[in-house]
Amino acid sequence: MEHIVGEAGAKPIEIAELVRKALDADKKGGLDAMLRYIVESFQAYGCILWELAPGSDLEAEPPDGRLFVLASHIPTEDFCAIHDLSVQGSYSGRVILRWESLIDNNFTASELQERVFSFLKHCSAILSIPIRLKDDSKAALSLYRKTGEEFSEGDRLKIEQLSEIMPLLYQAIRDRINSELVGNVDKVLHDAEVKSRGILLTFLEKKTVFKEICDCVARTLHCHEASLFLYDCQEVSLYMNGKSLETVKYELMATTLSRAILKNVYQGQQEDGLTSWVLTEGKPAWIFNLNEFREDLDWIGRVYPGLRWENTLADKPLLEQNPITQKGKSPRCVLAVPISIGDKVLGCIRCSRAKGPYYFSGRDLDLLKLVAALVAQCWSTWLGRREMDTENKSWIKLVTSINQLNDYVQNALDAGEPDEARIYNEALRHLDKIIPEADLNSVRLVDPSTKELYFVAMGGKKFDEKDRARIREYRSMTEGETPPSAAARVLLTREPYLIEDCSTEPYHQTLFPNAKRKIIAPIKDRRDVLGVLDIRSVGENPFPKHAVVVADLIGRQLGLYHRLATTIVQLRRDQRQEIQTWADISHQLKGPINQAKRRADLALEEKGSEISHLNAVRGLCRKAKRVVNSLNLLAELASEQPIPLNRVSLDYHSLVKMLIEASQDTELLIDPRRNIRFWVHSQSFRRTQLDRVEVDFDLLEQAITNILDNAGKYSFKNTVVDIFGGLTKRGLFQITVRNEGLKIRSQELKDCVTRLWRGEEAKVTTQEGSGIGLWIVDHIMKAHRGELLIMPTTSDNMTEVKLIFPILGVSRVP
Amino acid sequence: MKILLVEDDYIQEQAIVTAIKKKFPDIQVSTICTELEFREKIDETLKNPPDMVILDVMIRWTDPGPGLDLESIPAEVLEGGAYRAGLRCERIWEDRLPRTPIVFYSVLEEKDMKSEFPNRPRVYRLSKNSDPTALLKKIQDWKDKLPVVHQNSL
Repeated sequence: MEHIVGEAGAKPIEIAELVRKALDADKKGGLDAMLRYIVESFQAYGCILWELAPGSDLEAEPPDGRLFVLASHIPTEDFCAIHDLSVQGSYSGRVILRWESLIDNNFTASELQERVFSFLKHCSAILSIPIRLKDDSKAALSLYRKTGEEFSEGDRLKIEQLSEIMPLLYQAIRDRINSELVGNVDKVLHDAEVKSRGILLTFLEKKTVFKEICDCVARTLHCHEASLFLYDCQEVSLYMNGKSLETVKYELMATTLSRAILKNVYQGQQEDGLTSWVLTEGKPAWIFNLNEFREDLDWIGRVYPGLRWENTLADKPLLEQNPITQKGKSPRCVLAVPISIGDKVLGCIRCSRAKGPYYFSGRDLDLLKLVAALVAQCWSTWLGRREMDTENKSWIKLVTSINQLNDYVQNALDAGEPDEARIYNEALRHLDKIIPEADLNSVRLVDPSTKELYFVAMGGKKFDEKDRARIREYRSMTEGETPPSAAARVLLTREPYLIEDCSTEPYHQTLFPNAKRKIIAPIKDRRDVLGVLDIRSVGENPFPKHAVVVADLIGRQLGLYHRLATTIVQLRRDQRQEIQTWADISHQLKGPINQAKRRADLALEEKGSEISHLNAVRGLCRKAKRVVNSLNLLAELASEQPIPLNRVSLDYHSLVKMLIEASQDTELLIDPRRNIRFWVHSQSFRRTQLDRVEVDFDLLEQAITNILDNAGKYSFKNTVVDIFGGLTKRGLFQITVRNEGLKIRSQELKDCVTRLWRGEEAKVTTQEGSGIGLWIVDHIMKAHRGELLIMPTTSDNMTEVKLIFPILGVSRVP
Repeated sequence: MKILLVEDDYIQEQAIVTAIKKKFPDIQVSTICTELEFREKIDETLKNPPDMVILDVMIRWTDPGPGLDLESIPAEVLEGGAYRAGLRCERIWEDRLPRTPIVFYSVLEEKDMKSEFPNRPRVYRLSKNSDPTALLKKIQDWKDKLPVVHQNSL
């Protein structure tokens, strides 16, 4: 054990004892305990650890910089008034400048100032040594003794020896503090996560969580104030009780102050002030001495361009009232760190000290950044979850509404010749349930003879019935206008279109002058765009992110109704097949839609199993979509029209992704007791070295899902359906689906692609199947100039179905 | 009370069983998912018969399997396929235990089945949609009619 023996009258110092005292002290008092032990060991009056502030320029002439109290042990109440020293005119500053220790036993005879002595009037001796902390910042440890108690060279020797271990000890103490705080914050957030069980916490529950975090931070950093501001647009609007969203950005989520903070909402970009600066710039701000803010404007302007403080402190009456200044003391040192994810600022955590030691160190800043990162991660997750929850609810409403619409359409179809205008009006009636921002909604169809758009249905909560007659008369051009109207653009591109600011669109004002933004979605079937679904909002809130997709889906659904109505009329012509085909199609269509609705309800009712229910909803919707698409194709082929192709260049990854999704959805709908698994061999596609294939994506997806559905229906229990890519002997690209199950007999191979054919075994092993699946796949492949091959393999009960694409449709990786 | 559910779509089966169990935790529900299974198990089932049978109309004969022998399948099944399997099951049940209430629970409408739907007492038809309320009400009605078994009467 190393001993440092002091001069006469001094206690022997054991480094080990110093270490023990420092590390055994309570969590926040390690540094103080270390200084107290040094004071006792040296029989000094007091001791201060000064740190040179970042940004100081010791090379300047004269040197520029200040020392701040990092920690102290002085038994004088008044000492808290001391905050900083000039580096060039103080003992401790000179120690850092010269990087050598200093003893002066007669302060009154020295030209140097050390304002400490103006408070410690009975002291006149100082021993100070330079210390380099572990993060390379410079500090000075200064000991003070009463008049008549001089420091000796022996004291200098001892303290210099001590100085070697102090940075290590300080670092150890800091590490402990850091891990303690981070651990505590993490635990608070983890507990909140466990409590929430993946469901949204209420606003008050969240506030409680963040209050705990502020308390942790305040305890660890000895803060007078620790406050958390967070971006929370949706809940702020509720919390602010009707305040316009546009004026609210960041809300005070929690604070350690007992009284309300005057300024608890920040706009971020349009205000002055330190917190606003942090929220706007997304950078931390660290002001050492707010009392001298104006004097320090030079360096503050350099380090924090644009930062202003005077708004809140220059006004003296306000200063006196400012709750931050509780008990009449104003904050002297402020640290504010942004809470960010990427370049998105979610909020800010702010600390201030109104009691000594005032100074926040660079380690405090780093620690606060760690806390901010934890909060950012958590808040981002919660915001994301809420967004997802909102979106999920919207999807559930969509499924419910489409289900109701389906019932309506079903009844309309049953009643005979369907009135499509009534169907469209019914669809609009559901729209504002799905998209609450949809205020003025209409369906406009293309007049085939004039190519003009006319209104066939209109409604919405802001729709004025007085306008109905006027709007009904209105017709708009779809061609020839420059720039084209949004609707004309949608007719051309067949894609939905969002206009965030209607004032930029010259044609909107005629009918709906109050509309601020709109979504135009195509109403289309496979061949044509029949018209557009026009959704307009008059409020300040933007459309939610998923609104465009929802509008597109509803537009497609309306297109499907149109096609369905046409199809049913065509199908009814064939009386012989009507009963069975319709019963089967009805069964295939109603089953999944009913179940999707039920699953959607269960997702709302059964907390914790939403994901499995929503997955099932997705699979069931895909099945319904497949049935309706089959019906469309059946109608087209029945009327001897060629299948129109909408070729896109499909890359390898998109193809594999589609196959995987289709496999997952098919597997999801098979009785798990049969244990049939689907396996997409993605490597086999990569091995073909094919880059992209030119196909109609929707049709290819339809063909794949038809084949996978068959494989699922006819596979034996406990088998795997393999899907892989490859090349034929002629080098043509092929997708193969291989399963072990009921085989098509060789004599049936030719017939199995004919319409309404069903194998004998198939008839008794599946309850559904209209016998159009393979017939449609065959036509889809022929439309692509490709080929459908069905071949029993040499192994027993194995069947391979191959989709072969022509060489022209495939491009190789160079 | 015991219910036998004959339903070959496991998603539908799950939904129905869940709805029943949620409303009537004390009801035992046993399930059968193919017509062949129904026929094979009927003797065993009748030893401890259910108080109600819920039947889908379109039910497959059996699961695909390596030993499927078409010649062993009754001619009416080969001819009618899955489309009217539920009606066949009902006839078999009717011959054996005619007093059991039977509920046809199907997405098929009455008009889809036309004259094939049995015109007998205690045979009901309910439209299978996303809302199980009608089915649950039917069960409740029948449950209310069942005699209460008191402990001291055992």
